Amino acid sequence: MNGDLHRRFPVAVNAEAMALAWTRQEAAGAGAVVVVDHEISPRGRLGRLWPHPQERTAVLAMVWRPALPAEAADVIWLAASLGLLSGAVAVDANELALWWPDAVVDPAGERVGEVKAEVQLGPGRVTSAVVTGRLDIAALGAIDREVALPAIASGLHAAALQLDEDPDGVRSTYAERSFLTGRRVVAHLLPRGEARGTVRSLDARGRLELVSSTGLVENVPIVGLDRITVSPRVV
Amino acid sequence: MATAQAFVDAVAWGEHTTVWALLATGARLAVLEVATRRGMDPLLATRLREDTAGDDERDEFLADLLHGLRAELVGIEFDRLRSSAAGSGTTVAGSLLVHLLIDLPAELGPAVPVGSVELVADAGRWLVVRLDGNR
Repeated sequence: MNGDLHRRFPVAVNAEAMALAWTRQEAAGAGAVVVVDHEISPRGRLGRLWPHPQERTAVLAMVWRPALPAEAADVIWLAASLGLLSGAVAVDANELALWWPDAVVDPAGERVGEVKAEVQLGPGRVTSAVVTGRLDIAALGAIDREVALPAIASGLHAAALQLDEDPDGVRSTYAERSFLTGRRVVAHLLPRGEARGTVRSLDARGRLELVSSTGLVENVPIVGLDRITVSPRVV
Repeated sequence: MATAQAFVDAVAWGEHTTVWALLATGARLAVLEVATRRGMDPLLATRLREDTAGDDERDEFLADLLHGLRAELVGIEFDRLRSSAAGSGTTVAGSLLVHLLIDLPAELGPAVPVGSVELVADAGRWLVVRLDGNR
């Protein structure tokens, strides 16, 4: 990788923090990558701790500068997820899928990777984003971290390009690769409450579209989501 | 009791037209009256009452209604809910009260009531006249 756009730290709080600092203090360019071999505090969406030890984790953070309106900022989560999925698929033959809004899952729905998007907004638009991708390399057939990292970086680069060229395509591709599409789910909301329905797609703001059997559509925003569970209820 | 369960299920799963269909006439009028007091166009209320509203305005109204009903039932684990007849209701004459219960592990005692649905017989079927949650 280009040294000007690549930094590696043996130990750091986490990759996102280092990439954010690079972005804010030194105006890191689009595509800048931070790799951390040992994260002290590996956290994902809602500050939740990544549950796996560092020996089985491949993680990097990348700076994006997408040309997006502020209201579409959450589409970055979708693109980041697609990028991580692409990286994971490149090193693992398993049939992996996406679990909105931040996870990559195996065929059983078990989480094997996650993304986090820290988006910086300017007046009416996105100015930058730091996307972090983590993979559980033990769950992906004990692949070598040094193989996984370039694959993740390549996947995230490609996703950033797709996001710039075709944000609508990102949404439709995400829906096609989503484990949840077509399933009846319960979206547990913050601070409390829930929304139920069958997952149809994602809207232009990256919100999950749940449709009821009577056709009512409810859009769940990422910021309002605690977690999603698949309902055992059969239609 | 099947009507009470169907009503709560419809609220949980966003089945908006089912919710409306399971409401008794008196309950619909009460809902529309409250909505009008809170600023809804009286002409729209009339169209909803007479079932002549457009799909979009009906769906928007019923989505708001669903949010209100869900707020009443917030925090309830719908998948563990069961219902139990609890005698006569008090809202209208001849109504039946159904308690919504959640079972506890045996060592913690009997089931906990988390709400109630009041039903009334109307043209040979049970319809909902009142929902009370645990707020």
